[in-house]
Order: sequence, then C-alpha cells, then structure tokens
Amino acid sequence: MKKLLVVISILVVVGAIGCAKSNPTTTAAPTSATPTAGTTAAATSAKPSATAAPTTTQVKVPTGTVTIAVPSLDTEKFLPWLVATPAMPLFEPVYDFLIQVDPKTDQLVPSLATDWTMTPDGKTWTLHLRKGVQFQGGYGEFTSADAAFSITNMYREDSKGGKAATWRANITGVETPDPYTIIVRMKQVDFGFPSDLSSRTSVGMVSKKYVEAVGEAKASDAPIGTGSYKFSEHKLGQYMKYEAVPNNWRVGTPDFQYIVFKAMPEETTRVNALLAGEVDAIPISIDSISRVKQAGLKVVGIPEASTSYMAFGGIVDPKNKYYDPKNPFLNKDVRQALNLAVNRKEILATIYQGQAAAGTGQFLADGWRDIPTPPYDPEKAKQLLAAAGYSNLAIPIKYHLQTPDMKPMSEAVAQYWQAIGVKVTLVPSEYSTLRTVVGEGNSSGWTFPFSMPGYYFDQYERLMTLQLDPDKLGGYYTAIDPSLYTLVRKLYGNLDIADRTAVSKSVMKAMADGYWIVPIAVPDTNWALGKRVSSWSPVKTLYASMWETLTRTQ
Amino acid sequence: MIKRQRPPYAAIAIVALMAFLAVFGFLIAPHPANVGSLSHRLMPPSLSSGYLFGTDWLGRDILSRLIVGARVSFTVAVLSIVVGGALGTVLGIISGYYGRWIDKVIMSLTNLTMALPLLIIAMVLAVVRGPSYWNVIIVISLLLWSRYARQVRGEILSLKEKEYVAAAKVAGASTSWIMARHMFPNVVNTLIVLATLQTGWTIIVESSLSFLGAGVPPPDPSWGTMVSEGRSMIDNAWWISVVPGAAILLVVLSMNILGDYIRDRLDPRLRNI
Amino acid sequence: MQRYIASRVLYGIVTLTALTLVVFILGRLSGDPRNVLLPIDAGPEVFAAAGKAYGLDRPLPVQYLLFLKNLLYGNLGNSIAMGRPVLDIVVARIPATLQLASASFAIALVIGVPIGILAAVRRGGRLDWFGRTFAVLGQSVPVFWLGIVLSLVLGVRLHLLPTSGYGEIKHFILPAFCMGWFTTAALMRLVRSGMVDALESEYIKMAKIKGVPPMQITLIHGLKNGALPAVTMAGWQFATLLGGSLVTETVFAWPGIGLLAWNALRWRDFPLLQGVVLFIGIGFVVLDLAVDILYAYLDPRIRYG
Repeated sequence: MKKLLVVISILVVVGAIGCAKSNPTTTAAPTSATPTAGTTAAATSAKPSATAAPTTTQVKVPTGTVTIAVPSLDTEKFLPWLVATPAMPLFEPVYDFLIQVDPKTDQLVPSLATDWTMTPDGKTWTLHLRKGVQFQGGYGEFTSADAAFSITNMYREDSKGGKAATWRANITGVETPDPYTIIVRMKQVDFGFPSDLSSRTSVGMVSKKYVEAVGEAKASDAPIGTGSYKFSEHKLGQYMKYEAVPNNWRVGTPDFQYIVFKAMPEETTRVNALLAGEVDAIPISIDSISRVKQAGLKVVGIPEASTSYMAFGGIVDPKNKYYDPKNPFLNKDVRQALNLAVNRKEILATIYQGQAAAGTGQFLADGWRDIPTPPYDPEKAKQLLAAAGYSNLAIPIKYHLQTPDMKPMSEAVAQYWQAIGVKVTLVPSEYSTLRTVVGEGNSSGWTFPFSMPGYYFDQYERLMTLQLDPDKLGGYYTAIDPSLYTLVRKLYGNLDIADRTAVSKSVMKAMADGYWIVPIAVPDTNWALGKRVSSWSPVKTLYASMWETLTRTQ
Repeated sequence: MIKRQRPPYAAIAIVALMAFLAVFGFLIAPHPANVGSLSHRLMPPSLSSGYLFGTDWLGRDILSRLIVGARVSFTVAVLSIVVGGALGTVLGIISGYYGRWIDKVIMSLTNLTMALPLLIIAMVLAVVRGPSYWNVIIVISLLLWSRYARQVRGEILSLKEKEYVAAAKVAGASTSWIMARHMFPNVVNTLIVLATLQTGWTIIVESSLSFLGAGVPPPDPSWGTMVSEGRSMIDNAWWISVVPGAAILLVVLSMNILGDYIRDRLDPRLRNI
Repeated sequence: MQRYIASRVLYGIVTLTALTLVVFILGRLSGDPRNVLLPIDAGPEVFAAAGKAYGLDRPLPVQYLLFLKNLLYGNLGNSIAMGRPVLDIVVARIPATLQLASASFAIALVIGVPIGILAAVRRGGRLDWFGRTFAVLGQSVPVFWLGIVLSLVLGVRLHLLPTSGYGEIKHFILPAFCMGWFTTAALMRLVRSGMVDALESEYIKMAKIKGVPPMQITLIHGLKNGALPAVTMAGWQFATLLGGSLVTETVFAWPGIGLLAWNALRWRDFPLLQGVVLFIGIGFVVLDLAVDILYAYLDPRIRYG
C-alpha cells in the first residue's frame, strides 16, 4: 500500500511538472510602431486591373475563425527564402506578391507591381510598383527597396526558395532607379519570370526595414507583410494564427477574422475532424472523397496542378557513369508495350474516381490536350515484348509517397503489367532517397511513379531543359533522342511566341511518340470544405493559396 | 486452491486453424492474394459474388488475402519470438548463473533496450534500409528479449541455490552440463508461458509498425498491414479493415486464454507473468 | 544503503553513456540531411560547404566526441531543418507527451487496480471473468485502430468528445484511454495475481481465524503484498508509454515528441532526432533509478541482494 502510494505520488509529481510547463513557445504578434490605416490607392494603371478594394460605405467586420488542418506545419519559419515552396501556403495570408494569378481566368494580373515589360532582347525586365501600399505594424510604405530585398534574398546561396537555383544562374543584377521601379537583368531570356514572381511560387514581398530592424530570426518568427491578414500567434508544433486586416488595398475585408493552421498528419483524423465540425478545410486524397460527400460536404478539386506518370529508370546519357546499355527501357518497343498494357480509362474511373483528366505527357505545356493517349491493347503489348526478346521481363516498381496517389497508381499499373506476363515487384521507397538516386542517374532497370507539378506556357521550357538537356548528364532525365534535343534547343533564347508554341507542341508530340514515360493522369488536388465555409477560389497550383477568398456561410 | 479447469477448446481450435492456414492456406485460397481486377474493386462481403469477405481497392479478394496473411503474421510472430526468446534466454541464464560483472553488463543492456523508443528506431530502419520482413523481426525481437532475460535470470537466481546444483558441482560437473541439465529444463515452463502470451502482442505490434510505414512491405498481406491500409475507407468499405481486425482479435484472445491455461497447468507459481 | 545508491547511480551513468553512443549511430544512420534540404542541382561546393556547417566533414569518432562534449554542456545542437536549438524545440514539445503518458498511467491505475483487487477477491465470479476479458480485449486491438474507431464513433457520430487535438481536459480522454488500455490490462492482471497469492498465504488465513474483518484483510494485507509486483511493472510501463506514444500522437494530432521524431526523420534532421531519442532515454534511466532506490528504501532485503 505504502509503496504504491509513493510511486503514485512520484508519478503525480512528474505529471505536475509536465503540466506546469504547458506554456510552450508562444510568439505573439509584434506590437506595431504606429497604428496603420492600412491602405490604398485604387489601381490606376490602364492594364487589366487587379480586383481593387471596393470603396464601400457599409462597414464589413470579419468574424469567426476558419481552421485549416494540414499534414504538417513544416519547419515553422515565415520568411519566403527560408522554406521550400510547398510550405508557402502556411504564411501566404501575410504577404502579397508582385503579380497575382486571377483564379477565374488563370491569367497573371497586377498586384504589388502595376505593370511589367521585357526588353526585346529578353535580358531586362522592368516592373513598376504600386504606390501607397503600407506594411503592417507601421513599417512604412512598400517600395522598390523592399522588392529588391525580397528578390535578391530568394536567390542567395542558402535560400531554400523554389526558384533559387534558376535565378542564381540567370539573374545578373537587380536595380532600383526610383522607389517605384525595379529592374532585373538576366543572362538569358526567361519568359517565365513574371510567373515566378507571382503567387505561383513563394516570392512574397518582405519589409526590408523590418528584417533589418529585428533580425532574420525574429522576422521569421513574427512575419510582417502587406497582405490582408497579419500574424497573430504561433505555438510551436501546434498551430499558426492570423488575424484579418480590414480595408486591405487588394482584398478589401476578408470574411473570416482569424485563419488558423493546425497540423494533423493522419488523414483519417483530418476527415474525422472535418466531419465533426472541428476544422473547416482539409486536403484529402481520393479515398476520402466518398466519406466527405456522404456527409454532404463540398469537395473542391483543383485541376491541372500536376501530372502523375510512371517513369523509366536508367534513361541517361551514355556519358553518365551509371549508363547501362542492357537497360530494357532503352528499347522503344519495351516502352511502348508497357504503355499499351495499361488500361487508363479504368484507372481514371476507379483509382482516381473521375477526378482526373487523362495524362498525355510529363508536362502541361501547350498542346498537351491534343495528344491522344496510347490505346489499351494488352495483346499487342505481349507481342511487342516477345518480338523484342523480353518475354520474361522483371520490373521492380520503387514507389513512394510524394503524393498519395503514387501508391495506388503503382499498384494498379503493376497489375496490368503482370497481366501481360511481366514479373513486377513493388518496393516501397522513401521519396528523398529515391530522388537523390534518380538524380545521379543510378536507376537502370527499375521504374518509379512521379508527380510533376504542372507548369504553364511561360515556364515549361525551363523544366524541359532540366529533363531533356544532354548537357545535364543526370537529372530527371526522361528521353534520349538527338532530334528531341535539337527541337528543345530551339526554345533557348527564342523570343517569338508563336514559334515557341509550335516548338512546344512538337516536343510534346515527339515525347509521346517515343513512349518515353507511361503517362497516367492529370489528377485534381482535392480539398474538402466544412459547413462553415461557403466558397473558396484557389488558384491552379499544387500549393493551394488564396485563403483570403474563403467565404463564410451565412 | 486451483480448481482443475476445462481445457479451452474454442481457443485451441482457433489457434490450430491459424496454424493450419499459415502452413497450407495457399492451397485453399479461392483467388490470388496479390492480384485483383479493378472492375471488381470495393465489393462488399457477400455469399453469392465469390468474394466472401469482399474486395479491396484494387479488387483483391479479402478472404484470400486473409488466408495468405495468416502465414505472414504467424511467421513474423514465431520468428520474432524465437529470435528474441533465444537471445533473452541465453543471456538470462548466463547473467543469472555467473552473476557479478557479466550480470551487471547484461542487465545494463536490458535497461538500455528499454530506454530506447523502439518504434522510432523501427522507422529509422525502414527509412534507411527500406521496409522489410527482417526489419520487423529485428525490431520485435529487440522489444521482446529483455523480458525473457530478466524473467529467466530471476529463475536461475533462485535455482542456483538449490541443493542438487551444489551437489553436482561437488561431484565435478562442468558448468555447461549444469546449465543444460538443471537450469534449462526448469526454465522451459516460463518460456512456454511467455511465448504463448506474447504471440498475440507481436501481431499487434506488427500492425502498429505497418501503420507507421515500417511494417512488412506490400504486396504480401499481413493482417496488421491489411488493418492499417484499410483505415481510410472505414466508412465506405469497412470490411477491408474490420475482417482482418476481427481475425487478429480472435487469435490474440485465443492465444491469451490458451497461455493462461498452460500456465495454470504447468506451474501456478508463474502467475506473476 | 549508500553503497547501493552509489552502485545504482554508476549503473545508470554507464547505461546513459551507452545510450549516447547508440543515439549518435542512429542519428548518422538516418541519412544525410543535405540530400533532403539542398536543392537537387546543388553543386559539389555547396554540398561540401553545407557539410562543414553541419559538422559532417570530420571523421566519425571525432564527431562522436564533439557530440558528447556538447552534451555535457547541455548543448544539443541546432535543428538543421528548423534552425532553432534542439533543446528549445524538445522542451517545448515534451510537456504534451508527459501529460499524455501520465494521464494514460493514471487511467491504468484508477481502472486497473480496483478491478484487479475485486477480481482477486471474487475469484471465479462474473466480475473476475469480466475483468479478464476486458484486460485481454485491451491487448488484442492495435492502438491506432482503437483510436480511429473511438474517434469516429464518439467524436464524429455522437459528438461526445473532440476527435483530436490538444488543449483541454476533454482532449485527453480518448488518447489517454487508447494508450492506457494496454497498461490497464497488464496492471490488472498483475494486481490480481499478486493479491491472489497473498490472499492464500498462511498469515492471511491466521488473520481470518483470529476474526479480523474480511475487508480489512483484503485491503491492508492483500494489497500490501499484491502491490509489489505492480510497482515493478509500473516503472517499465510508464517508460513504454513515453516511447510508444508515437502512434497515439499521430492518430490524435497530439503535439508531442513522438510526432517531432517523425518530422525529424522526414527531414533527416539528425540533431533533432538525437535530441528526442536522448530525452526519452534519459527520462527512462532516471525513472528506473528512482524506482530502484525507492524499492530498496521500502524493502531492505533488496539492498543486500
């Protein structure tokens, strides 16, 4: 008795110590220097304007909290160059971008930049900035100094931001001739630059004064921007909270007073929480769609955000030390057979439950919709394999969880390949390890699934060069074809838009004719919304955004 | 005192069935366990469709996967217990018999093993070496061995003082002979009871490892993996998780009841296990 | 007594040192963080520079000694991914796990011990049978499954409890119950068997003959002896709860160190991973030491064993 009591008291003491420490690192919002009126100039440019703040007489008060449950709060840092692009949605409410994407038309529209022009030789971009936009916390007006600060930090040596490497290689300098103009000089033409400055990536505009005043660590913990929400609270490992700033120059006043991001790694838990009304928006995989719909809740599918396909390993330049001439995937008939064996219609209807378009290639470049998908012809597939001498092919599929559909897609494809006599083994792998190995080119003899973020016309050729450029001996190499390189080379420094479109279409067609991958689907990125949210207008990117457009159910 | 209990027939039958399935199951499975047809996916259990327990998201027959999974789960359990139990027993005997510094070292090792969060280590192994059968067995053995070591050591400590051991020593018997002839047989009862009681636990741990992504890799079904993989479809396709879950429940329940019975029969003094 | 304490402390230190070695190996085994954190096309100079920054460029034994030295100063290094000191991050997340483990253990004590006593007293009866079935059930279902089903039924369908999260007492109930059921079962069995033994011993029979009221016999004599094995078990169970909370934390989105370790692994953030494993290990060793010393204090026979 006595002993038990003593042990219990020890444990109670331990538990009490635990409870006493229950005020983990909480950072509260920085106290403003001077209260700001946070405002505006209506957009005065002649170009198609961004939705300017409606001058309204009725006073709208943001109310309520919208809780968004995400799989992870990532590294919980809030400066754009300290995190990789996928973490951007977590702090997007605070920042604005130079250029915005209009969710309805998918076009680039002015935001903090009112217009942007490129010199005919493509080597200089000039952007004019919006006047009179104030940073939160009284840190003054947004000027070209802040824009230059944000951009140059994005491509500094240790930046983790999405475009760091490309910009480092291409941007030679950034100039600010006056407070509302910024000039960026480049080595080679980059049609994708405006898109890179937009909400499609993560180059939020940061206040130079603020970062220099409090230091990067503090600025990262309690960010300040020009957005429609300001940072409110952050409990390390638990949640991030933002508070609405009324009369924002771009958005006006958002519906919800608070946005809270919570981490919930387990999908079943997220769905349970949504169904119970504890959270309001969650990303979901296809498996959970029927659960959500059964409960009468909305599913928002963001289309064309990525492509899912099976990649053949070992497709590397002969100069690469891992090049293996005996790699079966170097044989076009083998690649074609493995394409014909897959019943895409069935996969799209069952695994993707119709929430996907048919995949035609690796990229969503111009012309991707016009390319026909390979037919489903298992007999011909068998013949091709036999004729090529590979009737007893054994293929490992090293699948991973880069996105949730990688596993069911691999399993389904495995079944089709097995049906034509191929011996398939499924090998669970870890995405980052796999990525490294593939990047080196050490992938001969096996296949793997991949999800390629969808890119738009102005960006694809950069990606194409990463994939198809023979000067890169490794990389996510997918094709070895000299004629293809010649075609792709025509894109470098090519300033003729019509010509580039035509080249893009031919490249896409040539990739398809060569059967260089097994394209499967262009899946939607799915989100589920709870009862308290009546609508949302996200943009077609992989990393959802536009939280300020969440509207409240009345 | 202890009443003579009736043997738990139901429990014995269930365990025997699982063992039978583990060994011969693949002969009687109605469909292939690893291949399915997408056109038959997510069918509910029914007596008429040929899929008694329904199908999963790839159209694979749950019943067949259950049968083949019995072998996988059973093998993992048996191997883990054999490896962990053997390691623990040997070290426990050495520790208990020789005492002094080697005893301290081995007990220190058991402490060390218990201090390590083995689930996290299992995940590290899965990430580093890729998920594999043997990763699972290694991790579960590590989880088990210290229990055996401590229990056996305790027994040996008390056995050491018995007169017949002193007599054997005086008669000039070698240490290994004493260990084999006197120590080990007395410890066997403990081992049997521990092993039976822990088989069920092993299957549960394997299931948790699968949930964390460190379990037996697909497509080989194990009951634990089936429960884990079906959890997101708990509303619309409950049979994918519930059927193997029920199987686990039945088998573990039976093993525990059987273990209790064996322990009561062999040596009621072992009730502290 | 002093000698006993000294020897146990020494023992603890040896275990701790071995622990640091294991933790170090584990951290290095977990992969190269540069592969995850640097962009794909990072050149060899960037790679090497990062290696220098993270201390990866020295030979392994030197790295280990540096690690040990830092440890003695209480410096667990900086998290590579999060850029903050590991100690700060871990200390911020530990309370949640400690609270969960305590709550689970409390539930186990509150439910397991009384049922164990009652089952022993009314051996063979319906309560005994109910208790044993309840115990076995708790050991026959995977924790994550239990969590998901309970969360679904009690949270989604019946709206009785929150499905997940952390913050108020109501958030503790489901996770603590799920995590604690196994321990409840184990404790129940131990208490029951310990009590049964005690109740059958000679001096209990003497007490009955002497006319001591049965309730008093049960509570005082029976529990005193039955509790000893439960105490042995208790320390070990608590440690298991601490280390095994990973599954519960994942299912209930509980912001503890289990989830922290998961993230650390994903990011190949070996300082953070080492920090978590070390904390758990140290916690166990200290707890074990405390229980040992306590034991010796309460039961003098142990000291001279």
